[in-house]
Amino acid sequence: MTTNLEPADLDRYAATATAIETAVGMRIAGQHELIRQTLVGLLAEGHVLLEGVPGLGKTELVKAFSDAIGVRFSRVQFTPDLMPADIVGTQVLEEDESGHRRFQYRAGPVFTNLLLADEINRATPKTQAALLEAMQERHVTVAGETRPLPRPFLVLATQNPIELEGTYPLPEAQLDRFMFKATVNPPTADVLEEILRRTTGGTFPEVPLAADLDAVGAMIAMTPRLPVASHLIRYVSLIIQATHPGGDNATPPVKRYVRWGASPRGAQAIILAGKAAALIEGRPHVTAEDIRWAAPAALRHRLVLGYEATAEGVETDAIIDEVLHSVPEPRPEIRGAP
Amino acid sequence: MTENRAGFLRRIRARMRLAWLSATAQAYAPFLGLFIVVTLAIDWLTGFDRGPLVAAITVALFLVSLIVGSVALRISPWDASRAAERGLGAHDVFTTALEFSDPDDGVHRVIQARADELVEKATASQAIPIRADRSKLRQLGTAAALALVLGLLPPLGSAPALSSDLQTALEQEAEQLERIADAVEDADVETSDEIVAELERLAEELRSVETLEQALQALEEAETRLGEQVDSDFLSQKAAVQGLARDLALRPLVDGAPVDATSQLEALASSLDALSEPELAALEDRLSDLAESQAAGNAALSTQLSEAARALGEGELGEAASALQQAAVDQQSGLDGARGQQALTETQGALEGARTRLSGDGLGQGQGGSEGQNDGQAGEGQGSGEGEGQGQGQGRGDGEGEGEGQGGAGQGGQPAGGGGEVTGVAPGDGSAQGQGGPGSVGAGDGQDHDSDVATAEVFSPIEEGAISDLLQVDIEGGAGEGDILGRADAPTARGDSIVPYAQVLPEYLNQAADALGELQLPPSMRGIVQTYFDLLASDAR
Repeated sequence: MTTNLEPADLDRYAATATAIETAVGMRIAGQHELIRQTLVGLLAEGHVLLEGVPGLGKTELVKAFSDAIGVRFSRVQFTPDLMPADIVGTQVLEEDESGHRRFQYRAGPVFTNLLLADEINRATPKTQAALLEAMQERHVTVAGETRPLPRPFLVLATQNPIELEGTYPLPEAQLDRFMFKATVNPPTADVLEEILRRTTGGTFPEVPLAADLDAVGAMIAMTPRLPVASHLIRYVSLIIQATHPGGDNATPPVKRYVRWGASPRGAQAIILAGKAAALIEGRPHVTAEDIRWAAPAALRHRLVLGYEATAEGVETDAIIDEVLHSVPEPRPEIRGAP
Repeated sequence: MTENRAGFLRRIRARMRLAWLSATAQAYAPFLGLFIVVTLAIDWLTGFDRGPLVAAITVALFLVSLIVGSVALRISPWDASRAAERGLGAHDVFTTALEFSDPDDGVHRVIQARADELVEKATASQAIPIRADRSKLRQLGTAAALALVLGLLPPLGSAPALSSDLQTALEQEAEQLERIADAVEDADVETSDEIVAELERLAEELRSVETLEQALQALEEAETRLGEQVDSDFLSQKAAVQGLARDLALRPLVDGAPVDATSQLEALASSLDALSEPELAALEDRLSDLAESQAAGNAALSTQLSEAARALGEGELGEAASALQQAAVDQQSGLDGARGQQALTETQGALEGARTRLSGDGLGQGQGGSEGQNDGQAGEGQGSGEGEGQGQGQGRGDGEGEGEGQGGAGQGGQPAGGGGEVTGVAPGDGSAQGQGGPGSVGAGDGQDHDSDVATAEVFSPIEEGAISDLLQVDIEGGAGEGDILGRADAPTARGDSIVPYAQVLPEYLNQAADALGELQLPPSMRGIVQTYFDLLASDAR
């Protein structure tokens, strides 16, 4: 399968990505990395799990993206009594003008382009499973009828890391369906100053439309078609293998603290994220730098740490950094070569 | 792949070979340096003596291996592409372009175009820099410094290198030995060949020794070898020859004959017929006496003289003449032998002198003397001379000499014997002899006695016909002045026997020069004497 691409197209994609990030940045102060990860998730059609305390602008992030690219946006606050039908929709008995009653499907909030699933760990596993199935299959089946979800479709789910009592932490198999797990860090003093300046003046910054759906759709379509050199695929494979405590190139920290390493989905996520990152940069191919950039967000929710790590306070990111450091970037096995 | 990019990758390959060579050299150079250091250390510790050769061969093999390895290095297109893009920070452009080159695919075309565009701006040297690992280079430098130090060190257990002073001293002694050899050769005595060969060999040995002990041992061994050639009865021979010569010089056998004994004997042999009976009788007695005096030192001569005396007593003038002729031959032979033996002993003395100078004491004294102070008290030259005064006059007297040491110039103080002062205590005839007392401690340096030399007066025996000093002798226990009993050649304060030093100095210098030219003066003393008179001459000027 051949792909038509001109250098001008790459420049246009890079300009579009820059415009989107700039537009979102007008609403979201700081958090450049989070914005980039969200955009990568959008282009790679992967979903993003956001982790951070409440009040860090996660909802505003999703709203800003929907405004920037002119797509629909939904937000669902997950609670213990939330039912699957509240997510995917349900059949309701309706009576028409003629008094004839029939079941009519009423679509749930999942039928949107950008969905913010807030505090997903507060819903029951059944409800979580319904959403996660929709995320994976990109369609929902209600009353025997399958209904596709709109494109693009991006779920940004949040997990509250505090107040864990009465929550239902997502099982590893469900977490694996998220491409990225982005950590939303508290703002620095400078960023917080900027947030206050923007949000306490009575007016709220408007997010301009930075790209239409066609432009975004073209980028989404181009992303998987960017080639990845064999040595980079090998590089990703070695990274994934290094996260397994039983792997050949597992480092001592991995062997000591990791119970389960990353799945093949993790490798896929890294490659796809790398492609999206390359496209955002206006490059026609993935680089090792793209791989190293994508790896932490793609792996941090896929590593299952043991109790030793918990006892010793070892963070997943530290393990991933160590893995990336231990797996050398592919290079010629010739002394003196760069 | 375009030709431009293919050429670029070829240049990259060549550059990678160079980088490999450099990196490999730096990686193994510290080990090479360590090996060389260990090799040289073994060489140093054990006297292996092949360390530098082994080190040189190792370095050569190392360099050859590097060159061969760099030429034989296999560099794939991917290797070259990857190295180039890493070196240029090109983010996988070349490797991706190498892998994705479908001209019908738009993405591939863009990738190829980007790679070609990058090639236009890049050079191989930018892509593959030759880096220097400072830590490795420091290690190599340290090893090189250690190797250099080990290479320069003498083998462990060997003597330390000779000091420059000792080297100079050895060279001087070697030159001195060569001069002595030349003198001996010119003297053409019986033992000249042996002595010259020994001295020349010894001079070469002194130039090649590594320690002072070796030099001293060589001198001692040479001295011993020369000593073994000296006859045990050399002194008797010498006494016999010299005694005969002296006797015949004082009382010639034949009037008007040359003074030397051989000539006299030959002349006597040819003139027996001209002697009268009483003369022949006296000659018989004389020859008998001479034969007796030669019995111990020159038996052959003694026999011939006895035979001549016997023949004279029997009136056999022919036999007597023949015996005298043979006696002349024996005398000459004895004289030659004595000269050869004398040369051996004098050469022995020269070697002993050299040994003394080279020994620690000799060198130390020379250095100490040069530190003399102006005040004349702290000079380190040690005078040990003995002053000698001579007085001749009527009456008996005890001369009392007074020596004054002259220090400085790196030599021990040389006593200059002052004139003895005659202090007769009793009247009488005879000659008074003053015995010089011990010399005082030599002190000071040349400057200390500048004015002394210019103004000093010394005793000089008066010439015949000049006015001598008056010798005044006080009678012991007398109240008045003593009577003037006569004149004596005495170093009193009056008269012509006390003369300015400068007046006699030229003669002294001449005699010193003559003495220095004679072989009898031990070489060890020549320098002292020469220095002494040089100083005096310069002071007098």
